[in-house]
Amino acid sequence: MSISIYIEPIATGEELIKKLLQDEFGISEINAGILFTNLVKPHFDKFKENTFVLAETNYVDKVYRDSYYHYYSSKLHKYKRDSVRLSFFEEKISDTDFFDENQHSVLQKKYRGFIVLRPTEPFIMGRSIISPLLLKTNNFMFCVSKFHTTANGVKFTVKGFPHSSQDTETISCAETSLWAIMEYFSNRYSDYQPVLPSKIIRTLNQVSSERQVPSKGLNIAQMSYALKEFGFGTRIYSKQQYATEFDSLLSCYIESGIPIIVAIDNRHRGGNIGHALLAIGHSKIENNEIDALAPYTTSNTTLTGALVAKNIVLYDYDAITKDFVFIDDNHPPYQKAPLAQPAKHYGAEWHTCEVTYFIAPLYPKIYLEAYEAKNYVRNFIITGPEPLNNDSQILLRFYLASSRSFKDAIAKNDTVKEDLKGILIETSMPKFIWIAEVSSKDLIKESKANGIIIVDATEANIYFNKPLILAAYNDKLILFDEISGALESNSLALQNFRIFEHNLNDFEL
Amino acid sequence: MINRISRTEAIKAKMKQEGKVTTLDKAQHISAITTMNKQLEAVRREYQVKDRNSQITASTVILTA
Repeated sequence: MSISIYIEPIATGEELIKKLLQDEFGISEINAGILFTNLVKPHFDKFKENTFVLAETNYVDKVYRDSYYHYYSSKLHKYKRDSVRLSFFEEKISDTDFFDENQHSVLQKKYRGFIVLRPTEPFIMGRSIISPLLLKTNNFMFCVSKFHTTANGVKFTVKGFPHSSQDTETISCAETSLWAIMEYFSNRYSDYQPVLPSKIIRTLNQVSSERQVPSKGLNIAQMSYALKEFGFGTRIYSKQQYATEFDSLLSCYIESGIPIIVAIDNRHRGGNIGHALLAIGHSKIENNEIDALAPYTTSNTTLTGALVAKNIVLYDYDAITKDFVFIDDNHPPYQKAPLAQPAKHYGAEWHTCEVTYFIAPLYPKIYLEAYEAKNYVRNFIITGPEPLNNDSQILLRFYLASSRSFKDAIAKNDTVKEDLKGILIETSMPKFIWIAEVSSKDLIKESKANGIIIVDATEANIYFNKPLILAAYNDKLILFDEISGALESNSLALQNFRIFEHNLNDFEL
Repeated sequence: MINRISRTEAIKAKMKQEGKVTTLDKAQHISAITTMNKQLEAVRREYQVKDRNSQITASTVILTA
């Protein structure tokens, strides 16, 4: 049984896909046309005009094969085992390039990822990893991972985020989101394992009083449980509970490079939609969006009183209105939408949907989560022992980072003064730290800050500044004396430095 | 001879020598830290309620679409 291979420009993509659906999956010509128009074309329409498609039949897809052996093979109807893989290249390619080793580096430069078509009519769109470089518009930053794959026998790498559509029977939107998030984390960090649909079903069987297939979706608590079983210290945030802080907490985790599961629904508005998707990044921040940022306000009367008394204006970077980037199994990857209209790319019946919950999959030893950490920093700089000067106007950019990545970035950052650089690199830090960069509206437009507060993400004891590792702002360095244990303020001239931008990445080759 | 290349101790010692170090143990500092403790305790209580309520209601939202 040999593999059939085709190379076509995207302009003749319709003809190619319809032929593959008919020849490989036994789908009728009429249905193949409908499936192309409804499911494949929305993906192709986002790709650049100079895209070339390499199609391979008889592809063994790990995700579909798992669903096939655990579910589809037990049905009367004969589902096929094999899938079709479409690989994408920017600019023309030819079959001879693949057999010429000298051309492999050229092919790698043109390679932009793949989409699997699976024989589960009408839900044929399987897993994919598409480089945003293939998209006509890609002005965003997101949680990127590099994936290893092959096309026509040659090994390639692609940077992107995993995506799949649901088959509605073994994986609904909820299971697909779990699969995608684990695929990302397991590919990026050795602490995690990838999961297949049968593992998700098996895990949830332990806490379910009913069978899990055919899938009827999952509730948010079940999704959080599954992530916990897969090795995360998950936290659930409800919009109703966190109210005005909700959006900025979500934004803070995204800024931390943590993809999160987002629940949107309109049942509280009389609808019947409940949907899970992933938020993985945001659009690049424009200067006018920074200018439009309103000062931070809080219901905390002590903090508000101190802000007024000292005439301090505080801006929260997370509150900047921007588009977020979503991985949505009903749409092609990298959909952009503001949090206020998360379903704006859907039809009218979805427009009443709003983000009601999100689940943050945290590293299990992050004991201090975003709500408390952000509050700690605000209290420290406004009402703490070494507060901001009166009449200050500052913008706080807050995120979680691994101390490894942070120190690496500091070591390479030639805008950080030598003394501060030495102290930052030589200070003991846990695996993850909360960082608040102290900047201003003008400075942040240049991607710069002039102060920094580092907080221990493993320290849940918030008394007597226990979580503080060090703070440097207002030309002062504040840290604990190692011998006496007393908090000390040292005069240290600071200068503007480049902010840390390694959590969310561009997607260069 | 083995050279220690870390700089933090030298930087701190130099700052101390130049009189640039203030221990934050005066009455106003202690008062600020105590106020912070109370503030953060209130934040924690608030957080615990929000967190628990988020967990409880999370099991009622079914995601199927």
